[in-house]
Amino acid sequence: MSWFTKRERPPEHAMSDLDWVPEGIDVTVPSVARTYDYLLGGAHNLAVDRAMGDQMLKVLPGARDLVRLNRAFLRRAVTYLAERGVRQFLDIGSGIPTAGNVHEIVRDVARGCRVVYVDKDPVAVVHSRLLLADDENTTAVQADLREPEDVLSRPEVTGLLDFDEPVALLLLLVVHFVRPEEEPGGLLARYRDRLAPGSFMVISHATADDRPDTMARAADTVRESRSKDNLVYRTHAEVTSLFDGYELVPPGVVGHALWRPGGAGDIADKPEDNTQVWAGVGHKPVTGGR
Amino acid sequence: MTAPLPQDADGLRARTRLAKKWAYLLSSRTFIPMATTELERKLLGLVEQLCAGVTSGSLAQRAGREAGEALVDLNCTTAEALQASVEIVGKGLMAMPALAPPDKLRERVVDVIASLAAAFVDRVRASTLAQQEQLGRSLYRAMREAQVELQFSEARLELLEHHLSTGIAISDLDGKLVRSNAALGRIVDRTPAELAATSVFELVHEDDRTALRADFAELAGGGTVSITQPRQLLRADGELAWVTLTLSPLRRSESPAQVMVLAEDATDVNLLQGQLNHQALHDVLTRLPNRQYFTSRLEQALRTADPGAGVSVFHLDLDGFSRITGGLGREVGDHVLKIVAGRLRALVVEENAMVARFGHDEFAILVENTPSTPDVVTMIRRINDLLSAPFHADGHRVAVSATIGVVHRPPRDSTPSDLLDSADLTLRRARGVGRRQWELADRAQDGRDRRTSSLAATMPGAWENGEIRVLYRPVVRLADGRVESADVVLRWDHPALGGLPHEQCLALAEDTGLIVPLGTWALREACEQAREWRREPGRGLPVRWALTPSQAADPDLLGVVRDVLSETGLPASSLRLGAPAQALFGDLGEAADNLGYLAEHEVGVELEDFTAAPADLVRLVEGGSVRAVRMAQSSATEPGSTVSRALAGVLEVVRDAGIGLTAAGVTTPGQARWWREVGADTASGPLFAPAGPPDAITR
Repeated sequence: MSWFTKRERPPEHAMSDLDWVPEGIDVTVPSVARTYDYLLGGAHNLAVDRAMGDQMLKVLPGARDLVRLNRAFLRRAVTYLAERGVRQFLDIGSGIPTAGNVHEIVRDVARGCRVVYVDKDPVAVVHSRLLLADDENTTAVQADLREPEDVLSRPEVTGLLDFDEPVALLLLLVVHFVRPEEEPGGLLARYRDRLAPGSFMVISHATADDRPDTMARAADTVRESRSKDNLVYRTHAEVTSLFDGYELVPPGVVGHALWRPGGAGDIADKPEDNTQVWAGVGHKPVTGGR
Repeated sequence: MTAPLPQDADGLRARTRLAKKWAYLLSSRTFIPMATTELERKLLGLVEQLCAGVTSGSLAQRAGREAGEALVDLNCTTAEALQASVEIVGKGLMAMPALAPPDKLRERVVDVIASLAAAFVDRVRASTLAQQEQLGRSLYRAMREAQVELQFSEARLELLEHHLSTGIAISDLDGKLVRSNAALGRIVDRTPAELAATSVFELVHEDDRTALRADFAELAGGGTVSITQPRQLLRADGELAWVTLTLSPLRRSESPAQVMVLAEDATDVNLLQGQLNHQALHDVLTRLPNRQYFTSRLEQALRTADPGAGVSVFHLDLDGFSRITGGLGREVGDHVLKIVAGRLRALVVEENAMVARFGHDEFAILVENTPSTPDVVTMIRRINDLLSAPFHADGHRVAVSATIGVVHRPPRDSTPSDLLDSADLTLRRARGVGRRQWELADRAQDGRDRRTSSLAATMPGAWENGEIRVLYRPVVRLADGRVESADVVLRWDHPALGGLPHEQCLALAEDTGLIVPLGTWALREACEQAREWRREPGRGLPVRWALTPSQAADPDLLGVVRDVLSETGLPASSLRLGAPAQALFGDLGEAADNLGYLAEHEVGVELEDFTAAPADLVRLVEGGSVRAVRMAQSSATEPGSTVSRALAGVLEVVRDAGIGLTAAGVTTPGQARWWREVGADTASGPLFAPAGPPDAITR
């Protein structure tokens, strides 16, 4: 017996079979994570995601390059961190775990690295869990970047990561979904305060500094889709200030293709494609920090 | 892969160059999750395989297929990647003449490339299908988890239902209940089926409906904030359920908004409050409602009573209750009050009535009349019969009686306070008549009484301010018209009402008890004036003060008169005191004793307002202490009337007894003449002179 004395739904509610489906599982709404996968050449996406991706390609022909270069930046940054001895990675906004994920990258550098993927997209997280089922050093959690205390207190996070040791906090193409009124600076500070000295933070963040009109159209595309996420571009100075409390690793905040490029494929043919995303790696000082 | 490749330096250099160029083209078009050098190394391996395929011929298709699959595994899945690969690999292989005989080279390269493309397509298709299937599984699982979460939520809600007494319902924007829980059913005493057929508006008390509709309108208009208000719900059993009602909007995309209704039963809280109210609204001793409670019930009754039958209010004052507590003790008094309370309650048990205790020994009964309610006279009789039945209290046999003021069927627009004032005034009028009396309210009389009360209350202040003066009215000897003495009268020069005459001043002063000090003051003033007059040669006007009943009975009267006479040096014979027959001949004793004593000491005692009633006449003649009697001008004393002739005989008896006769209120010479004929010595009244200041009388 239900707590409702009258169980049946009223007729006007019989219209949708899926009205109980939470936000993020509704297959009629594009997902940023799956669109990203599409632009990367993956097939973990649905027609709505591809439609949004194609629309994005129309207004921003370099969109594929953007995601490719970002992915390449992630690979270089994570490799760099692993080589500097970091063995714990917290990847927030990890999306659909397609080729070249963090745990695969670090596996090639060092043994025993632990990786926690965090995304608010329930499908991305379930998908990650499927792929990671056999990997006891890696897990995925559904949580929101904007709730640091929630993220940092999840058993999956605290069970795998030791916050007394350095952790690399990875925030790739995700902070630009945090609106100004949500105070991204204060938000990141709450993460920073929990990280041990010697930890790192990696950010890549879309900008309109070089191509305001094109990027504005790109933002409109996202806004016009029914996705709940909206792009907030930030200037070089604003992205730099996100690293308050960290020492920037050379070369500092630069176009994502220009952060320690390793070969021809890391750089786009068109120069402006190399700087449509600001990227940087910050190091939490060992002395004088905390 | 067994066929040996040409190991010449040129061949290796060419293959490496092809691999590097291929890597560059691929990595700038698609994301390959590895460093450039590693990619180049992998692609060099593919190039060497492909070269071997071309060389062997039989391995051409296999080499091509493996390269095509490897490309897809490197994440090169786009058409663009395939096109670039076909182009660069095709051209590169064709540019390596050492791989095969010239007549075979082109055919074998085409073979290799065709296989690469075919395998690429197969692999991409398989990979895409695999990924889509994975995604489908993930979507399914995510939904499943959401569904489980939802079921878990529902299960939690179900648990809540068993452990919370909060009523929960969901209604549409018109208030119609779509769902509701059992707790709500309990709160409003209705079955699920009854609830399903009703709306929130039908469930709330009508007083709350308008406000609730406003709340719903706000939510329907897009309000996002929950609204919490105390409300009364109508229970099926007719009782009211006090709840805290919270309305919250429920919005879902593509569905009409609904309202979540939470009803927290606040009846317990209100019951507790009710208990506190009970203490605030009831008399502790008798447990009867107090005046406050009675008043609010009265207000309600005036609104709701049957207009034809109306209400009746009985205001009771127990007679001589202070004698019971004074003589038998407070405990007996309390016991009596409880008995009276119980009897009064029993009296109206069949009526829609309330019995209240107003004060020390005052009770009130409110009856909402019906056609079967007994009439007022019957009710009064029953009250008196009930109260007069003796009972035992602490070994004493006690019976009580009550004086009652009744307000019967007051106008519906009366206010409770007007009505209670009226009942109180009526009670006081009844009390003025005596014990065990009752009176019906008289609105005109009420108005007069009310004015009198307020005047009486301001009298002490007026006296202090000098608004009250002593005046003298000449009493004239009928034989020669000379002033024989002076009547002492009071006048209140009221700033708003003008001069209030002596009689009204006395009545007001008597009401408040001011009469004793005021009378003493007037007496002293008069005696001082009389002494002044005595200083003038040939004058010696006695002054005459008419005592009021309470002044006459004042135990201090003797002392006051003695003091005044000794202080002013006025001979006792120059003071005359009028006294009412009740004081002179009454059973009270004290007044008669006083006056007898004064008469013995040469103070002239006179009988006021002599009526010539036989009993009075007998006492007058036998008493011997009265110097004179005063009669007021009346129809009986009008010359020529039959009564006046009879009266003349009576007055002769008075004269024969040596008692003087004086007439008051004489207005015509004919009246004066008549009085002279029947033997009156003196007279006063408008015919002679009005009351005035002392100097007016001496002229």
